[in-house]
Amino acid sequence: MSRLFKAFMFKLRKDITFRVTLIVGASVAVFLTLLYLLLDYALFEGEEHVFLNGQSMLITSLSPTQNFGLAIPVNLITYTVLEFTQGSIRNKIISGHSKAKLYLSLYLNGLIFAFSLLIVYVLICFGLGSLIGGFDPEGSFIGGISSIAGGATTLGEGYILRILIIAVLVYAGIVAFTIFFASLFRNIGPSIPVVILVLIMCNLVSTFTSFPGIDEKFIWVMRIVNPLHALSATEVITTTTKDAYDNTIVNASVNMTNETFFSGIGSNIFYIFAFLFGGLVIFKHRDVK
Amino acid sequence: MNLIETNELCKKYSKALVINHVNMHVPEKSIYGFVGENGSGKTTIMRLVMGLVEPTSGGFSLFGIPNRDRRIHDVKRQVSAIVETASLVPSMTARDNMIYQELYLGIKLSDDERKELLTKVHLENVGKKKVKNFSLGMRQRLAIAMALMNKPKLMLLDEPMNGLDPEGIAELRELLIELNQNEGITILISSHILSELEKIATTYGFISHGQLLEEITSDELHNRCRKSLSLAVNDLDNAKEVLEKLGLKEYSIMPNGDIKIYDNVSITKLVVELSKKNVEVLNMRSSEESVEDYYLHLIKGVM
Repeated sequence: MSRLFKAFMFKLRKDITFRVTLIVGASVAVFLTLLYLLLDYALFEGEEHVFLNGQSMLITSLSPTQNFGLAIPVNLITYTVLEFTQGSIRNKIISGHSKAKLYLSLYLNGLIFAFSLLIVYVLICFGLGSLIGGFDPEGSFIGGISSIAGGATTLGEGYILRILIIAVLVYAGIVAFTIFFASLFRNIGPSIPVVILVLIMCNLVSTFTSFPGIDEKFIWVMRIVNPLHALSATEVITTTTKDAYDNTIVNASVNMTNETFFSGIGSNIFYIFAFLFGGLVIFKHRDVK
Repeated sequence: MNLIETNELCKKYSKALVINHVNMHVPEKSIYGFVGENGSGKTTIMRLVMGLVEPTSGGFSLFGIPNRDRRIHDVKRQVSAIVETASLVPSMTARDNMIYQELYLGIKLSDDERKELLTKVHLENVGKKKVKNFSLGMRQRLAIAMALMNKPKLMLLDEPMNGLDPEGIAELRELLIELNQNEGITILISSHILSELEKIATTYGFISHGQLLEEITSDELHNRCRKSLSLAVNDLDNAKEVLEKLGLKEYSIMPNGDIKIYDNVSITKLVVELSKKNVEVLNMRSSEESVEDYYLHLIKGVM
């Protein structure tokens, strides 16, 4: 496995497409920063950094279906399909690597590929956002319309950590899913539309759960079935406290409930293993041309 | 010892049996010429033996290790293969392609060793040219150089002469003979250029429609190749009467009107008898069947 890993790292270093994608990712991050800066200037004359700040840029940049997020699986598909069409997989089998090891190496290499792009993109977004707007300014715009409707302008304790854990699992799942389809079709043509369509559908369905009055049962099903639910769902948690004069004070903050967090971890781990195992079984029994 | 041995090897795609109970034996230190028409199953057998394709039934062994044995992966480190097209990364240079392969093979070559291999295939001057800018022949030569990187004991070459110019073919032939004779590398080679194969093969395997028709050594083949006498005459009908009268059974009329006689016949007697019937002999030559003739004769019996 280490031989396959070293070979992958060498190829990645030499791969112009990967380097170009990294530059594109960095450019999109800078463009997004400028866009949010403009928005702050247009709406608040630059006095408040409601849109452009560290935490909002961090959360926005982690989305797998917005901005640069979709470019990651698309590039991963291209890279993986080329492994098949250029005969690298064939040569590796000929030189004695088992199909099981090869498939696992495709997944591990895919993780490195995806996370390298993601980390560069997220770090630039987060870094520029924090540098210009600060990490957590008063009244920052988190979670979009539903958080405003819920009156939440702050993030709950541990929310960022939860989002990061879920994001890591979501991208690990997307890599497993992407490698599964890329090695199933071995062709860019059908692989890209399938992967993009599924991701967009998952994201779309997860936004339905933010609608007011949505059935609680539907939300529960989505928590379990939809791996993007935890990352996309914005939950406003309200707590009440009493002040010294016995007045009730309502505190609203954006957070992730334990149910959403743990079901998000569970469903993503399930999908990672399901696609990894399914892909492995199919790859072992399919011929390599 | 046979380095490759297949045992009732079968491969089915949907309902079509493309490899039909093949029992093949590639002896150590031989150059095994694999001969068959397009779609006869040569490439599929190579793929099966290399583990790219799973057999439907039957099995094979490499260096005596059965395909179901886990040690087969270790044994394959002594094997190199070019199946159909050269597997290269087009965006990389020849040197980078070699380093990439070294890494997954787990070997380390010095720059001098790489240069030596490239010189062997006349690619020493490619410099930093990317493989995507190579001609088909150059790619094929690079693939051959890369196939030698792990100092294999067995090489499987599927149509390695494709894309090579006549000079390249001659050079490849010399290289393969050198590798076989000086370094003891066993070579399984398929090619449509039978005249080239005839110059290097020490053993032949003839395959048609997924069935291995015959395995034969080069010496046996030359003993078996039928000698024939070709005649060009001015009167074919009368000539046929003479052949019947002389009791000749094995002869055929070629598309160009020549008569090809496989039976032993006294040339003097034949010419005299033809002359009696006023048949003029315009041309006469004796020849021996080529590998191609032998193969065509062999598959006629199957079809």
